Amino acid sequence: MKGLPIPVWTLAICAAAAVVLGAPQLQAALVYNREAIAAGEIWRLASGNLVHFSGSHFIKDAVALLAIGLLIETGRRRHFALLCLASGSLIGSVLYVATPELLVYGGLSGIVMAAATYLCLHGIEEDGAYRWLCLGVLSFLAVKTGCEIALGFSPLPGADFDGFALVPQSHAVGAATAIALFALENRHAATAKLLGIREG
Amino acid sequence: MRKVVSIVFLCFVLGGCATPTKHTSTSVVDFLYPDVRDPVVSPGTPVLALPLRVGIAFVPGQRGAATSFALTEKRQSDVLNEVANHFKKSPFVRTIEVIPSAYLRPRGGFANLDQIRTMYGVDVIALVSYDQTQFTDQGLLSIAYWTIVGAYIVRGQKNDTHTMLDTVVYDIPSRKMLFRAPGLSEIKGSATLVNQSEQLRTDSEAGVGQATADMIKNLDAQLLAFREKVKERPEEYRVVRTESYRGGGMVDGLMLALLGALLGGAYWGRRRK
Repeated sequence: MKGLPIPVWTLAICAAAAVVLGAPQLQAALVYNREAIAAGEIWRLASGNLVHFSGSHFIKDAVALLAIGLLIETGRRRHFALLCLASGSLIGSVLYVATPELLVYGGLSGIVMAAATYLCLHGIEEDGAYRWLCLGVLSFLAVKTGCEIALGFSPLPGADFDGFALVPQSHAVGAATAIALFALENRHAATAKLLGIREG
Repeated sequence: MRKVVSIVFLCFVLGGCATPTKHTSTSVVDFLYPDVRDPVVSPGTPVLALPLRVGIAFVPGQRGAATSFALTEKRQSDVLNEVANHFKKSPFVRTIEVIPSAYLRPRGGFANLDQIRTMYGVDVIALVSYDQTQFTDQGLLSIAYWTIVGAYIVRGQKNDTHTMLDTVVYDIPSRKMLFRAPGLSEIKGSATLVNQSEQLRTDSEAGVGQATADMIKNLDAQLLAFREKVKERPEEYRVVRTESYRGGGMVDGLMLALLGALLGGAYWGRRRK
């Protein structure tokens, strides 16, 4: 019996974030810090996603990434690592350009958002109730992120951020990266199909 | 003898018709600007270093003035802690210190606030004042008091308790008021003649509780409005962000629930295949 593939990338990212959470020196070296980035430490644009400001911040992000990553990697989607790397780097870069007032940023939720969007976009292509579930989740995430950007805070009751300001732009960038990757995959698939028809 | 009875009856009737009112209050203006001979304090431009170090305190009442039934030192501390806990996790707030009323002098003014600033290391202070008025009237049922027993069992006293708590937030170095938020409550109740004072105390406490909840709600709204004002008028408020001002993204409870549904849906779909 062939077992499910191990979600290597998901486990690696969560483990890395856990190590960073337990090592304050690593946190200081990896967190998105605008002044340090301006001084040339550009790895912080991507590595900031691995830094969390509290245990509950880490647990919520890690649980969400584990759930989504498990689905994507066991579903044999090939580009999960590319998605994580691209969304992580783009989140830091866009925040650096678009939010000059933000000095310090951390959290995996932008990558979680990218993964959730990617999963739902692929889910819409499937049949049955799961398709509608994916469509519903995708619509909800779009409305939620839109509201958060417009209002500057989460309108959901009980949304509690442990002493840091919500940065919904990171979620929007994550979702945009997933949409771009999905579009590229579909374009390649369409091209391959077209070539196959011509050769046939 | 008949004359005495008539006088006693008249006193009773007049006493019954009287509407005693109890009013207690504290005033931010009396506290901050105690001496009218002083020149008016002209506020400067506040420099708000985010996240802020905030103090919160009740405005002390005048010496010898009546104090509210409900706002004992313990209750004041509870109200301040309730407000402080609500704002403790805000990204704009680094620390929020509850300042006991013993540290504020009646009519202490900004000099007193400067002392608080040095003692507690706060830049911004939220001053909470209150105003509570209790009206008591007698309803038609109070006629049963003539039976003596009625005074114990018939709720002939009608009470109205109006409470206002008001929080004013000041930047201490610049003497500038940043924003304010009131909390209001109106409680109507009734009591027997005998337990009237106990009922008034209960209403007074309930009024403070309701006004506190209303004030916290209004503080949320005013804080949002203040954020917009700061963005729109940078010449009036300077904002400096220190390294402690952090931003982040976090998955909230509802998003986790949705992702759980996705996980369940996917596994259900795969098992069916």
